[in-house]
Amino acid sequence: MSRELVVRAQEGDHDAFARLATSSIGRLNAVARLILRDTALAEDAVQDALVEAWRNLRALRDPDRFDAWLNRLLVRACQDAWRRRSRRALVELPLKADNDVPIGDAESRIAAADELERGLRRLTLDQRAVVVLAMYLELPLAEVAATTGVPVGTVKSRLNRSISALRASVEADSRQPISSEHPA
Amino acid sequence: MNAQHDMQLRLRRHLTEQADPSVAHGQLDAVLAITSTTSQRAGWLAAARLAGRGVAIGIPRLSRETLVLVGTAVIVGLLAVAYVLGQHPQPRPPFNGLILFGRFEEAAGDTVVYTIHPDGTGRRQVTPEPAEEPHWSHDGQRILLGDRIVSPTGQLLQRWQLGSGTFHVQCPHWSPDETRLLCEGFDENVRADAAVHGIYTVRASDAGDLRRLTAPGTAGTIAGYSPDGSTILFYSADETNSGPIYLMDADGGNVRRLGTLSVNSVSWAPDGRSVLATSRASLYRVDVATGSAERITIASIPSAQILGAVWSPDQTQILFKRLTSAFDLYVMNADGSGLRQITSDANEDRFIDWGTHPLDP
Repeated sequence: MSRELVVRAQEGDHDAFARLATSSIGRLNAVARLILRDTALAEDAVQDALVEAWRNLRALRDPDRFDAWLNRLLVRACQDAWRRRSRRALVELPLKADNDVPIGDAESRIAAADELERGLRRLTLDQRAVVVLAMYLELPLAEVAATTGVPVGTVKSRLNRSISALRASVEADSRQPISSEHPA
Repeated sequence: MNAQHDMQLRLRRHLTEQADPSVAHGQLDAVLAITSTTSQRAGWLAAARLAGRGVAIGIPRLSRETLVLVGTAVIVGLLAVAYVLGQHPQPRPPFNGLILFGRFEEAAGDTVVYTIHPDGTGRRQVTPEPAEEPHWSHDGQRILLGDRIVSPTGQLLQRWQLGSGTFHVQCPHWSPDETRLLCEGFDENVRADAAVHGIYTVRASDAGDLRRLTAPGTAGTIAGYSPDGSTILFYSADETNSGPIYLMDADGGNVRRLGTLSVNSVSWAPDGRSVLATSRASLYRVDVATGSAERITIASIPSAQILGAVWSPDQTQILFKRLTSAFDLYVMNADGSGLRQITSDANEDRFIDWGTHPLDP
């Protein structure tokens, strides 16, 4: 991100904004898809965030903070998209059958990824946003707090609870329902 | 907390592998088409608009009215607790009072804390805020939720924030005299974590005087002080959330392994002479003096899996979690007889504790 490009875009130079958008859209897509777990919603959110960025760019006081500011707009757009989403069924990842015992490393990795994926889908949107910002973008917690608009303490507890919930979810998924309990 | 740590590593790897930065065909063109025909807002208008949406303001501050409201609620809550205590003299412990548990609510995506009678009636949500690892105070009048203390009816009595930056401290256990809290500290930064990850204690009255009890390299999931306060119980969980049981003196010294089981839950017996542990979905009573383990089964269903268990305060009954169609709570007598189911819900019940708070009339 070039400070000069941001300044030019703030002055209404659309070509400069186009270059900023081109360099940012991949990262925004990745983050939005991880937060929303829905490709169409994520693309809507990214579009909304970029359009909001263009319209409100003159409110950005420090051009060097463009990326952080854009992250903030994106998280807000994800929240809006989530609220607006219709009640259409979300596409679930295929799950392994109860009696499908993993054989070998590749299957184990797939099973472990499925467990994590299910766990992530069980988190709330706000929890997923904190997890993605802190653990995928590796932002400091203060930055996560600024991006999500909540106090640092809330970020800490959300992150901690999210990790605990994921652990519990993975643990639950790794157990099989009992079918062989027999009365004495 | 090793398992917490491992989960973070798995999660980072998973997110990196799953991240998809590809740009859909026409996506960027659509953005540029819209923005090329849209005018920018004036600076003051854009700032006002974003501030109204909480974007320009990083950390929202509580308004004066909110602070007054919260303060009033706390005072009213304290007065209500004082009134209730004055009206109802407490039975002398041990008394098998209300059970405390967390339920992972699928819809909310978080754990909600409830109390319930030992017969499964009178379930009541404690607090609207989600929380993990709730524990009763020894007199059954307060509930510890890791970073705050509430009354059994959910009034906030005390809240604190420990740690800073990426360093976190959660305090789920009381000392027997309730002057200290037992905590786990960890750093979300993997490299920094090795130096700070461990078991800590703080003053209960104000969460001050943070002291580290364990040396670097010693950490685990804590299960509380022994009833006489002399010993701390914990287990060291690996990636599968199970590992050996350890005891250490209350000052952090004399760390020693207890028995040979690899467990995924452990809790003290009220007499402090044994611990209840679950290992590979079986329940054991482990003798503190010898480390020997004796399996406890449900008399009517010896093959049933048991996942996490605690004693009743009078040590005559066992509260435990069992997975049938869902994770539900059950109670049985110490000899495995008298099985009864106390919760039945599609959501997962967990984080159990049995206290001495009087039952509702």
